[in-house]
Formats: sequence, structure tokens, C-alpha cells
Amino acid sequence: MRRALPLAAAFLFAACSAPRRADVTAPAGPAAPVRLAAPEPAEVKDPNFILVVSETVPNPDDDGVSFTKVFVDGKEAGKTAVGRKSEERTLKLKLPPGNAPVRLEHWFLPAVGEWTRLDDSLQPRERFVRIEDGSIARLELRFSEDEASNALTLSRLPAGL
Amino acid sequence: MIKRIKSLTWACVVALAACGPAREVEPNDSYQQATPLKAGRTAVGTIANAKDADWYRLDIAAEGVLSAKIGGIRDVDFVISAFDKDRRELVRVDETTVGGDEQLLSLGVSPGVYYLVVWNKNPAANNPKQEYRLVTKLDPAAGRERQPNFTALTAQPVDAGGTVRGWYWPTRNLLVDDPQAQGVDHWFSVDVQRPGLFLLNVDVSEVRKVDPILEVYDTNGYKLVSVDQGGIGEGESLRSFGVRGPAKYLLRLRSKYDNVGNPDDPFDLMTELLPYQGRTEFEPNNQRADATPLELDSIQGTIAPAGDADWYKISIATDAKQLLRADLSGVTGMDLTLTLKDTLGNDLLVVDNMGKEQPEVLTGYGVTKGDYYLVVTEKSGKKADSRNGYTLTKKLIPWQAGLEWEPNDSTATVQGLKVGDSVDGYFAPKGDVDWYEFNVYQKGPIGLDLTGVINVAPKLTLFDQEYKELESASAAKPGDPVTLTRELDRGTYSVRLQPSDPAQNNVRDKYSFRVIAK
Repeated sequence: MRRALPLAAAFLFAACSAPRRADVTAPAGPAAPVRLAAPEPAEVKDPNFILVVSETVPNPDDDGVSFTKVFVDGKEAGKTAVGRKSEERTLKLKLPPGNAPVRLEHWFLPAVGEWTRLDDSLQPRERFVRIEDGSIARLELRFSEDEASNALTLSRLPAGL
Repeated sequence: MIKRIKSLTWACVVALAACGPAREVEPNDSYQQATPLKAGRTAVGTIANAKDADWYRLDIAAEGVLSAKIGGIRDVDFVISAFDKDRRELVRVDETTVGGDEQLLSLGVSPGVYYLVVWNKNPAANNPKQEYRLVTKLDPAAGRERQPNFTALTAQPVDAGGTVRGWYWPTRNLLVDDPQAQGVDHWFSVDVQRPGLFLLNVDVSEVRKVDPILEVYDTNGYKLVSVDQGGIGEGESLRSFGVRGPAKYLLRLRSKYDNVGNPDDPFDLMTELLPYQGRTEFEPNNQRADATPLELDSIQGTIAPAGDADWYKISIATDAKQLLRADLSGVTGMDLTLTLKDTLGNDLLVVDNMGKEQPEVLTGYGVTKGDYYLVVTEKSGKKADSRNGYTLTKKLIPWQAGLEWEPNDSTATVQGLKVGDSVDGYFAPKGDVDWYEFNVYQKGPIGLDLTGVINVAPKLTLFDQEYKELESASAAKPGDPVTLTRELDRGTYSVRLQPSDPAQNNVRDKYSFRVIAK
């Protein structure tokens, strides 16, 4: 009896920590694609660049999820959080001052399959954005027609907003 | 011999008597005492007193249409009524006053007994001696209206593809209790028996004095369309009205104005049912939900009735970017407008370049997978013509680099270019503004070249990436090119191209715009 109790506890612990049956029986071979969401962007203090992404989704059934990466001068500078297409997503960044080309790269999760990069012909165009003290460059990207067209507008806000 | 002559004479007298008018046999004041009258014969009688009613019994042998006319006599205000064998009153005619003729037209009859009753409405009538003549006529039923068909319930079935002749007569339905609702409607039903989509064409001929209105109802009593294009003495025409079979549709024909008819001129109602093959509009297509699919290269339609808006749906199944081009022909006496709408029915582009009787052209609009709508309207909203139609032609051109991608009429929808690229586009429709954007990655002189286009004196304006105007250049006169060269720093630049005068446009010739590193 004395031995039985710790044995039972050990068994229980082992059962909890062991991988699930399905994991155990997963076939060997190349790793299956992972439907990972982009990690939440870290909060930036005193941003000088704000990206706002939104999309017109006429049919609720088409309201999937997406995110947008930002490349500044060819290097990835950040990405928006994953969110419903119909929801407005904002990314705040602190970029070095200067005039640099900014390219946005839009990704979406189809109903079946993995994260997919929107076709090049449908991606927003690259454009220069001037980062300067005392103001925030606000780049707004709005998709419509099921991401078939987009509008990119640049505006400037006073710093500290 | 004398005996034979006598009998021959009698035979002649009897035969002559049979050919002449039938004289009423008083008393004939009720159906039991009705005077026999052969359909097609004339009866002669008198109105013995103000309350006298003369009943005539007609034994009809075959389907037909019965008419009766009584000549007016002094003092008497005639009324003619027709009853069936069960003494149900079918029609009552009282169109004139004292001394006037009365006429019953187009009473549909089947084999059996019918009664015609002639009576007086004037309580002071006192003309017992003067004879009236009641002339009847029986015509074959084929191709004729068969009254009473004054309600949807009694609508006369007509074969689509045939003609029915009738009269706007009587002008009042006196068997309706409500004096406010005594207008006479002529109801016909068209039975679309085969399943599928069909186009119904209905033409109503003109009748002097009458302004007709034609309406189409479904069997639930919902009015689907009302046609009232013509005025008094003019006909009506309903073209390409889309119907789905199997189903029954009701046609209601009436005079627009109360108490107006014409017993002398008949109307002809012509119906036609054609299988729908996508070559013509499918009315009603007056709203997005009812848009006619535009699947072939072209389609024909008409602006009728006045204020008609014809919606056409273009469904694009491929993901590839394409340019939609549309050509709309002119229509005599009309100034047409073509509008492109998105899947929700929002305006994308309004094309109204030309004037009356001239064609409209949508030179090219960027489309991708989804539904789009082309809407054809008449500018004034007050004109209609169901006989002269328009042709709407569409073309989908695969988009490729070097072609303008509309909409590019704002900084938000600006079209991207690379230094060294050129693009071909149109200054159309009227008021068109085209924005292009390019990036300069290395400081240096950049040239902007715009070729000339007939009828347009373009203006070219260069902006920096904050949309601050840097420089502009204009053509000296329509057709001239524009060039601009400037040293530019690294950055994004926008160019706005537009005619100097917003009214200038050219739907035929493209401009060519190039950005060159000098």
C-alpha cells in the first residue's frame, strides 16, 4: 500500500507529461507546414512611423486573417499583428531619420493551406517615406475587391500623438 | 297548277320572312318569354313603356364573339345587357343618353343559350310606336378578345405569338358596385409552359382618342412592369421583358383616362415569346439584383419605359488583371450615359462624353475577379423608345505593363511606374485625371515625355512624395506633346496628367507617357 500511492502518482504525472497519442503516431518525414501566426509586434515608444492596414470585406465569409510586413531600405523593420481582414491593424515603428524606400508585403491565411504571400502584382507599390523629427509619417494601406486592388496614402501627423 | 303556284308563293313568303328582321313577340319581359333571335340577325321591337324590357334568346351553336348594336330612338335611353343561360349578367352597356345608339362588342360566347336584354333608363320615355333595330353579329372567336375579361380572374388566355383584336369598349364596367372603380380593364393571360428563360414582346396598336396603359402581373398579383410611353392615339410596346417558365403572366390593358374608349377603332394586341439567348436585355433589369448577365460580346437593349435603367452584370472568374472596355451605340433622339459599378452597386466610373445620338465609350477600366455592372440610362430620364435599341459591346483585355490601369485618378490609386518605363492611356471619360508615380533611387535628371493627342491640350504636373507641386508644363494647343526635365533627388514622385480643359477628351487615341533618366 505504501508503495502503491507514489507509484500511482508517478503514473499520473507521466501520463500528463507524455505526448498525446496523436503526436506519438504522427508519420515520420518532412515536417508538416505550420499555420503559425505572426508574433504580436512589440509596443514602440515615441514612434515616427505608423502603418495602418485595413480591408473592405463585403462578405463575412471572406473575412479571413492577414498581416503585413514592412521593409525599409530592403530590410524587414516589423510586421503588423495578425487580425481579421475587416479589422484595422496598426504598426508603430521608430525608424532612423532620412528618406528611405518602404515596401509593404501583405500575407493572408487562405481557408485551406498555409500563410500565403499576396501575389507580387497585387502587392502595394514601393515608395519613399521621409522620416524626420517632429512628425510622424502615417502610411495607410487599404485593400479592396478581395485584395485585388489597394490604395496607399501618406500623411503626416505631429509627433507625440 | 294553281295549287303549286300558291304553295310556291307561300314558300317564298316564309323564306323572305326568315331572311328579314325578327320581330319581338310581346310579352318578352323575362327570360321565360324571351323572343328567339338567331345570332347574326336583326330584331325589331318597341319600348312599349318606360319600364319595358325586351328579352331575346340566342341559341349559340359554336364558339364565337357576339356583337349587338341598337339604333337610338326618340325619348328612349337604351341599355343593353347580356346574360348567360343561368341569367348571370355578363356585360351591361350604357354609354349614351336619350336617343343615343348603344353597342355591345366582343362578348365571348360558347355553345349554349344567351340572352340579350334591351331596356330603357329614361323614366319619362313615351315612344311606344317607334321601332328600334337590334343588329347582332357573330364572328369566329379566333384572334378576338372575348369579354367579359375585366378582371384578373377572368383573364382571357392568349397564345404568345398571335394577335388579339378588341375594343376599348364599353368604357365603364357597370356591373361593379363601386362607381369609382368602373374603369374597364382588358385582362389577358400568357401561359409560358416550357421551362427556361424567355423574352416577352407585347405590342398594342394605336387607337384614336385612347391613351393605353399596358401592365404585366405575375400570378400573385404583383405588378412587374407598366408601360405608358405613348400618348393619346398612340400605341404601346413592351420589348424584351424577361419571363421564366413554366409560369403564367397576366397582361392588363386599359385606357389611361376614365370614360374614354372607341367603339369604331379596334386595338390589336400582339404577343411574342422568344427563347432567351443572351443577345438582348432581360427586362426587368432595373436594379442590381435583376441585372442581365452580359456573357456574350454584345447585347441589345432599349430605354423603355421612360426613366429605364438597364443593368448588365459582368462576372470575371479569373484572378488575372484585365481591362474592361465597353462601347455603347447611340440611339435616335437620346443622350445615353454608361456607368460602371462595383459588386455592391457603387459607382466606379460614369461615362458621359458625348451628346445626343452619339456613342459612349468606356476606354478601359481595371478589373479583377468579381462582379461588375454596366448600367445604361438616358440622361434626361424622360425619354423612351422601345423600337430603337442600343447595342452594348464589352471587351476584356488582359492587362500588361505599359497599359494604363484605371482607376488612377487620385494619389491613393496612383499607378506605379519605373524610370525607363512608358505607359499608354486615354484622356477619357470627360474630366479624366491620370496619376502616375515613380521612385528615383539615384539623384539625377529625369525627363517626362507625353505625346500629343487630338482634341486634348494636356497639362503635366510633377509632385514630390509629400504631394507638393514641383513643376508643371502644358501643351500649347490640342494635339501638342508636353515634355519636362528636372534634376531629382532620391525619392518618390507623382505626375498628374490631365486635359487643360476638363471637357476635352479622346476615346479613340491613346497618349504615351514616358519617364526617362537623362
